[in-house]
Amino acid sequence: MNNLIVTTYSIYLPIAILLTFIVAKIFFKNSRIFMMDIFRGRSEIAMSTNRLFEVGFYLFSLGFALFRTKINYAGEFGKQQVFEHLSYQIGILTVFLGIMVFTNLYLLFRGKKKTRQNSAKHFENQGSNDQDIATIS
Amino acid sequence: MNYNIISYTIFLSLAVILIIGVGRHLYKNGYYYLLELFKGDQNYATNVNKILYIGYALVNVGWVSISILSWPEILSVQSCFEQISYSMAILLTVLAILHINNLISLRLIAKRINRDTNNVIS
Repeated sequence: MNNLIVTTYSIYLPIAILLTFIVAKIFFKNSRIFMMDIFRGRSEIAMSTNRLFEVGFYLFSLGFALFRTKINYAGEFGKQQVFEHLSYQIGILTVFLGIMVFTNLYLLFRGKKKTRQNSAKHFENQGSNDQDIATIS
Repeated sequence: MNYNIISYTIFLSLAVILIIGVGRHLYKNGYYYLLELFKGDQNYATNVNKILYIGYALVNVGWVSISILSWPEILSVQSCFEQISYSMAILLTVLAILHINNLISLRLIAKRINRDTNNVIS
């Protein structure tokens, strides 16, 4: 039962889970300010949206990590192959996490821009209402 | 001990140190660009800077460790040196191209900001 593929799995899985958690922690600690801006300072809904995004990130990344676990290798699986496949799998997961981080950052920027446009429109409408009121009175 | 495993260890540790080191420099110096971009909002600049740093490190480290799978069999100390220096050369070139690309895009963003502020003033 001393199979090196099993050893690779048992090294890969803890690293994958730990990496996902660390990246999500760092990202969502820094995304709070965006959420506060998007929800115009209503902190409860901003924090819970942040939390929901975090859960989604965990689910997606861990799902991807587990999906990529299986190693298909026909030849003899030696120590060298352990190194190669381990670094290959962790590399794929890492690039995926990086792309996820950049995509989420893009979404946050878009949300911020939309909020600013909406609030600009809101102020314009308010301004015209004020004028109307002023003309009526 | 197999030559391949030794050269993987040396290459990966060199590459990770290099990527983190370059990233630290960019992290420190890019902060002021971000500050300019967010019109002096320090909170935004710090947070976005951290996110960009972690994204950069993840993508580069991942790409380097993927590239290991395509190495040929290493049979002597000589080919170990050759393979490590070749792979480091590719890594350095890619980092340099990315860096130049970043500088060009910062230049474009700075131009756009200048144009916007000029429009606002006029």
